[in-house]
Amino acid sequence: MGLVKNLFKLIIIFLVIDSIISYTLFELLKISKIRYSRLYYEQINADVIFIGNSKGRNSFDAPYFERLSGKKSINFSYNALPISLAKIFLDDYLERNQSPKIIFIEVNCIAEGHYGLLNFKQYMLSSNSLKKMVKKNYPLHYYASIISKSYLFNSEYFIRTLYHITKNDQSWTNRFRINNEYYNNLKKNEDTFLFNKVDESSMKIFSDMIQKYKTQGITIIPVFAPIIDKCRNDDNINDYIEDFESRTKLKILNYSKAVNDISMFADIFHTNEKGAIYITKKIYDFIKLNNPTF
Amino acid sequence: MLFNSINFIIFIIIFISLYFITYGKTRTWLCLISSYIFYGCWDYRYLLLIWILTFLNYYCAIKMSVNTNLDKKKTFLLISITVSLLILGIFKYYNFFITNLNSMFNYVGVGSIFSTFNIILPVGISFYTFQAMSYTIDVYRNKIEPENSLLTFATYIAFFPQLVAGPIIRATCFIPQLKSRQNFNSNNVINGFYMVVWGFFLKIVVADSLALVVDVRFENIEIQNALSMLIGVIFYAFQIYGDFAGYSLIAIGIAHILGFNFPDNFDRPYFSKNISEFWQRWHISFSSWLRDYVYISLGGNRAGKISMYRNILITMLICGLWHGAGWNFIIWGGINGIFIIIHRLFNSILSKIKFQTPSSAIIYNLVVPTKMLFTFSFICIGWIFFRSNNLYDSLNILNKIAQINDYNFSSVTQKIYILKGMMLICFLVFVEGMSLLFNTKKFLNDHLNIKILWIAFIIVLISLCGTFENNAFIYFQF
Repeated sequence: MGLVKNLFKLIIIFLVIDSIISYTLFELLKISKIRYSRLYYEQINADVIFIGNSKGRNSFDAPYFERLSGKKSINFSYNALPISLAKIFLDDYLERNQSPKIIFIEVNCIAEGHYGLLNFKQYMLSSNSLKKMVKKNYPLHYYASIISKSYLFNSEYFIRTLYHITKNDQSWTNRFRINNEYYNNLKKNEDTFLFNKVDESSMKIFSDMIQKYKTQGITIIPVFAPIIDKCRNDDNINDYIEDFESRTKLKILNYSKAVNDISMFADIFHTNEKGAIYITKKIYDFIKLNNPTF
Repeated sequence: MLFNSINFIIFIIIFISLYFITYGKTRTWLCLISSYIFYGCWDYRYLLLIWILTFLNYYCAIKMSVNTNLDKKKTFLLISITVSLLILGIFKYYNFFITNLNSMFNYVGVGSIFSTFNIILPVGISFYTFQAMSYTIDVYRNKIEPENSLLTFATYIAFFPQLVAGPIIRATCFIPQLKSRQNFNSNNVINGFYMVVWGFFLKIVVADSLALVVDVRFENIEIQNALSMLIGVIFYAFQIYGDFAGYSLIAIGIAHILGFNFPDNFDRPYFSKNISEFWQRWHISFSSWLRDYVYISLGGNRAGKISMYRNILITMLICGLWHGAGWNFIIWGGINGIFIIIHRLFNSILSKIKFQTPSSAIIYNLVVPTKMLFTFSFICIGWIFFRSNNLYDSLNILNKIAQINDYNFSSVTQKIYILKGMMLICFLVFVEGMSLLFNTKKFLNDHLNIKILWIAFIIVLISLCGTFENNAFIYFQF
């Protein structure tokens, strides 16, 4: 009998502590200046949106683009962001804001998988699409977050949310540069990364996005961000781009070879702060050249 | 079957329910069969090894007890120890030994002579072999009577909570408890549950969160700077503590729920003021095993100082070898042995010059943390060898850390994980420091409601900060 009573006490106390902590964390989530908190809890109404995975995060400098163009810009890229999740974020954004003029999408995020989905489970509290996706792909985690609301906030992303509680995260790019010794040890043949053509299901999601956003007057511009020379196979990238363009009828801004200075790279796949400024300027120049009234 | 898996949670709920509705031999059978199922889930073929060790040690112990002739007793002891070590040697050390032998032959130009086996290391083999050996040696030394019931003895060897990663429980402690009836006791359940919850916190929250930072650093040494590598080493010290102490606590906690009292296996080791004290607080069941069955058998400190230092070094080298078939483990053991010897030498010099321990509270309060910090630094040097993939990596890491001009935080990666890791380490040190200063263990035992509040808080912390990726426990590989 004593054990049942104590077990009951434990459950009640657990629920109380869990509710207090999750309530506090949800309030912090809402006021944070991190990109997706702004998406869900702030009116943004941007003119230009950048999106992608870590390559998008490290290649687009939205504040710099804003300074160059005078147009309100925001970067919704995040490490390992897959296209399914990018679509949810963009759809949720469009439900809450005016349509942007342009969306730049770094093409490497057009890939399968739900990697990183659990990182954003705290936004299930504000997004039904996200809730459905988590329930479908990670039912155990979904039900765990019903039992313990604190579990919603168990992610690497949420720690960043706290870090950005008062600090805007839009200039978040890698600040370091690739180690010279490491770069010199790279071998062109052994360390080359090969890109697979976009799979059918990801292409289907992306095609749906193109159709939907076109009707809202949004231009989608795909971008291929830089890769360090020793790890790049230009023929492979050209094949990828040719296939992509023929399937989507969209022209890719190919910047895979745009950066040759290794001081602009944080590692073999990602540019750093300096590289992001360089690529963003190139994107701006391209827009100005093709659309002088922008 | 991992403790931190859904399968185990289902298994343990069914087991505990059945355990408390059975008694006597049925209950012992339940424990034994469940233990074999638990182990068999990993690889049922290796149950054969457990059975061989069980029958061998059971038989030899019985034979030793019926023989009054010391030589015959010794023969049975030798048979038991030789076969046990042979099994351990084949499965754990054969490939290591052959690889080194071949390297030696290659060096002198003979070429590789022997071929290695393609065998998987049986989980927990070092633990259950040493547990079985301790029983036979204790029977030989007349410390315990041999166990007549094969069922009881087999359960002692295979008891699932501590089968694969310890603690190594002595027969003198466990067999009498197995033979007496363990009634349901709500205090035992609450105390045991508290240990299980804190054990899960150490594993899922502390160890697995730190592992995310540690693995990246130890697998990519070349691209790390000095600060990044130092963070990796310090985090590893807490990762291995969280991992192993966590497992031990879960094992002890489950046994406690069932009504068994096992001694502590860790006693806040990073609060040790010297390396000898560390080894009295770290993996206590194993270090006391080494003391009783290796160090004392070698002569201990009975034959002068030189022999004592030699015995310490041999014992610690065996300690290293027990952990793994690799030179890095042997060197780790050797380094710890040398540190213990240096500490003993230093102590004996201090006692000769009659060094006075400062009596002033302020100085004392400064000296003690300094000693702890020094001890922790020395332990971390050892952990570098323990964690590295090879000796070259270990030396490379030491070299990296020594580059004073390379301490730059801006180029350190995974800052968010580092921040989380630092917060967890601070929390752990705070909780353990409090328990050391104010005996919070006793306080919680005296105040049940506060204990329940604390358990609830820890469960919320596990939910909030845990890493739920079914990571295996580090000590499974030993």
